[in-house]
Amino acid sequence: MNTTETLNRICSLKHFSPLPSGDSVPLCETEGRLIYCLPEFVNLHLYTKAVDNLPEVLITRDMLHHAATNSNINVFLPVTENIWKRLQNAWYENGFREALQIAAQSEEDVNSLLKFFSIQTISLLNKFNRICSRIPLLSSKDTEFQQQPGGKECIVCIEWHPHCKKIALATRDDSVRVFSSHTKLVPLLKCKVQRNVSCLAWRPLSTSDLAVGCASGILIWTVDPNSVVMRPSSSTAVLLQRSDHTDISSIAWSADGNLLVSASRLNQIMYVWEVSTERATCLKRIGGGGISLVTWAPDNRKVFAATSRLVFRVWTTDLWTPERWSLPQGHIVAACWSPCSLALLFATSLEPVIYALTFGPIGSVYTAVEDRRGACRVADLTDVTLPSGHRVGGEVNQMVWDGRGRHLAVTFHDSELIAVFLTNITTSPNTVHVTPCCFIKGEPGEKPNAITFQKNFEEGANLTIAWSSHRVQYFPFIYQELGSSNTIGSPGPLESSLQQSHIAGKSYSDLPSFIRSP
Amino acid sequence: MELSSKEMHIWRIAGAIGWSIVFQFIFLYCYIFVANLDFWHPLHVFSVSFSTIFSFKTLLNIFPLALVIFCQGLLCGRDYFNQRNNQVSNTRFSLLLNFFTIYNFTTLVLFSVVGITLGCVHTSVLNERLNSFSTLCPNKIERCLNEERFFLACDGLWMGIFFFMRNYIFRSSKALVFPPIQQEKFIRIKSSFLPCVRNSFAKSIVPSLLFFICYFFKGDYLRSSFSSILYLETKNDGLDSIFTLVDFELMFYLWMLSTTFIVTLEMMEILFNIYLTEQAMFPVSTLLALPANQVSLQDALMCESFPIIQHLGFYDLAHLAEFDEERRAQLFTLSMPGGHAHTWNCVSSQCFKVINSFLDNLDKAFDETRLTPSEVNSIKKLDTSAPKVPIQDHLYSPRIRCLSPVVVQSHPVSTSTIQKSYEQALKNCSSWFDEKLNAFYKKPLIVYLFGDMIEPKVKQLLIDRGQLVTWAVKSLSTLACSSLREDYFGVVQKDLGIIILTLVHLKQSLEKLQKQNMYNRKMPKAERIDLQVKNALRWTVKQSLYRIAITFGTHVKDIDLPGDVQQQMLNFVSFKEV
Repeated sequence: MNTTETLNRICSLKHFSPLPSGDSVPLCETEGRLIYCLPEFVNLHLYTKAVDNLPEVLITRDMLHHAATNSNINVFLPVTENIWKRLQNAWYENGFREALQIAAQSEEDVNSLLKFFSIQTISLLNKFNRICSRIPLLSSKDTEFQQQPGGKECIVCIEWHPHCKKIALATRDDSVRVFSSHTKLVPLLKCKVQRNVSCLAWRPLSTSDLAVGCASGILIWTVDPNSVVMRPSSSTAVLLQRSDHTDISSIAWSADGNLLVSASRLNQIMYVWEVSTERATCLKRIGGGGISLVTWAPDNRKVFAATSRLVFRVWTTDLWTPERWSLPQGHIVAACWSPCSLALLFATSLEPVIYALTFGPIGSVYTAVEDRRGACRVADLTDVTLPSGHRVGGEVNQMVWDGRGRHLAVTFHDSELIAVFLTNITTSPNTVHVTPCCFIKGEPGEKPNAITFQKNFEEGANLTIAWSSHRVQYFPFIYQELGSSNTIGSPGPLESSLQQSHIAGKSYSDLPSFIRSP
Repeated sequence: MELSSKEMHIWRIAGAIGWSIVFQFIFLYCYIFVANLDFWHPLHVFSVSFSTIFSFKTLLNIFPLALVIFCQGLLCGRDYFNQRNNQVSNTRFSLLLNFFTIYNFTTLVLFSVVGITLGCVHTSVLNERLNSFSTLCPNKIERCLNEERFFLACDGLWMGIFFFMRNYIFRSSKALVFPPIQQEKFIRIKSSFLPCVRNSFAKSIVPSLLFFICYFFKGDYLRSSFSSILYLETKNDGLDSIFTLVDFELMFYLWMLSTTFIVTLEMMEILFNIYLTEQAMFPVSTLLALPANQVSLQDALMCESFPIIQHLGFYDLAHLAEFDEERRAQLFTLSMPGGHAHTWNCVSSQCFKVINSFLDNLDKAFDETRLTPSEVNSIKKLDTSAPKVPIQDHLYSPRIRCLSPVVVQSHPVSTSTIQKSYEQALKNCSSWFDEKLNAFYKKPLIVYLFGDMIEPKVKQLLIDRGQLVTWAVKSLSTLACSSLREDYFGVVQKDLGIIILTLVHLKQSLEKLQKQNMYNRKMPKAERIDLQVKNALRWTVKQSLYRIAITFGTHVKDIDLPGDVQQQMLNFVSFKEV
């Protein structure tokens, strides 16, 4: 089978049903039917009661504290200081290199010897850096990840609690807010060491522990649900820190909440923390750049770690040995595990494709060989222009899979739309079937900043979207089988995925299937 | 069973000792290479190092080195072997007395021997200046003491004493710390070796400087006594003057030797930790009898005589409960003739036993320390059959007093009254003596030395049993949750109530312990193993209760539990417990 034929058979963005013309925005999906309405008349409660008791997330521009970032320096009036004072300040605030820059660039009557010395030192340092970056072992810092994660958006990330109706939201001003359904009180988590927040993770099997990854390390906050304190003191937080582990890019809890794995974008080191004892084990393998993403498989047996280069690894957690994979080009930008831990979807920076990597029991000798050959393409994300004039596709920004493995939402770097796919996992051989579901767009001028699925939404899947206008929207997909969710013990991951894939097959059997045959 | 578990332990210790000896050689060879470094003749360094490494003299020196390392390893192994026999000192005085034991003395001697051997071996492989204790005197006739070598050998001795003092006197007791994750042994050894060497370079600076100062003041005494033993002359210009002592080459060797000593001992500790905490897989003994050389999981859990095997058993049980579906199914099976849940009963009873004994010991530690010694004596004197009620509270209420004036009546004195008054005087005398004795007991210094301390007891309990209890709790809750789908005969369900009850009791006891606020001493958290274990235990108990609450949901109400425990469980179900 040649490549073009394969590409024709796999799901692509052009197979989606187009958005209706006009300003109407999609609101929710109930019983397999998408509901649209005009932005002025948005009232989700008319169509479903499933989101009635979810916390109301309200963020306004006034609520955000302005962090003392570089962009805010212009707010202050300029003062004239002599060069020595400026040098001293630069050294104190930004280090030796910044002081050298100031000395080299100043046009005042600086000592010419000093100016010469600074220019020469800077050029020497630059040359040294260039040499270092050529040597694979020494080039730990990746320039492409040096800037703050996420760019300029206001809401950095959102994270649902795995068991409660509680959502944590990190904003650009380095504060984290926790919205709960049972109280109107919104605790604001903020402290001096919490700078450049990049990721959040609620601890499973706990009600109050929230891990926040930031520039100085990982902060574990204990947010007491019974407390009425608006601004918990920093003494309720524990800072997990190592000198070689700053600028945390990603954190992930094990399914039992015992271990936390953290990765830094600056080097190839991953730490596995036993949080209750604050002990850490360092995991380091040569090859690949800084680690940009770590995710723990729901069954606790595997950890996926993507580097900022061609390499990514899948670690098995029994003896913590990695399986090394490499990409032909680019690096991984988004990845997510299926709820049954048998499949992993990922997208790379240079190819507009979603790949699936399957694991698990071997079906037969032939399929096993086929599986191990590499990841297979499951969806084509080449950008298309819709009849409504919207462009969608290209490089993936974020990709999330709901807890039942039925909906997959993807956001793109250069698109205002969110593409939602229907997914179905079949075992023996493990295959991920991806079919188009719908596009979601926000109000005019809005772009999705962060998306996530609620983890314990009993009625179906609840996609939560933080738009660039600070609006947080719930987009529920209500399934037909309301009320059939298990209250006594969740079924095993495999059982549940099988059960749900069966349901999915029934509900959406009329849709065309885009399956890549092995 | 005893034999096979002992055998398993011995093999692990042998592995650790073997690696220690290998590391010693590697370090010796690195040392030879570094000591011969010469920037002007780089190729010459290689040839000299190779000829030294493979010379007969070096090979001869290796044997004593290997021997002392082996002895040291045996001692270290015994340390872990007998970790539960560590005596708990309640008072500071007994803590002081515990320093003067045969065991500590042996350790001190062995440390000193290791230090001296290292000093001698590491100097004998060097150039002519240092490889012998005697040199020609300046007058070229008599043999004189080679003070440089003597100086380095003394440093070995000093390091032995210093390390012993630091590790055995001023540091809390040793404990095996299981790593958060299991990795291959080689990777663990590799990843811990370089940080160990790096830290040792820093750690050896202070003792080396101290030795330098000591030798400056007392060097001549040592030198003259040693040279008189060997019938050697001493040079006029000894090393104990500023000008002769500031010799950079000698200082470098001193630093290297101190570092080698610290690396040797610390690496051995690390290797023991790595070997002994490696996860062992114990088969569950069910219907089929296991081969004689295999230790079953049940046996390992019951193996109180070898605490390390018991630890490994519980560690494996926790792993089994979470990941190993096959062995879990074996746990839930019934015995073939009779249909009894012997396997589960054995495992669960062992878990309960460990948790309950921990709870009892914790309660005992608190109860004993709440009472002063005199109160304990008075309670002991009371009839044990009487109900344990604070009697004096009932007899003398402070609120009811006799307010009438006391009238003194005079009576004729008889002989019996003389005797009575005599007895009374004696009684008064003894009560006065008791009073004084009690007052003496309350003197600050005496209280400091002989006062009961709660901390060491609880600390030792946490270090010895804390990890076991953590695994037992985790295993019980995980097995209870997986039993919902995997246990076809319902063998675990009948114990669900007891499991919840035990966990809630443990949670309450730990909260009580938390309120005691024993940890006001400022000490780095990384060194407080007991504190780490306590935090891990608290978290695990809560996590386990949450696990059960999430799995069983509101059906917790159907389990037969006391009212308050049920209420607590419902709080967990509704996620209100922190």
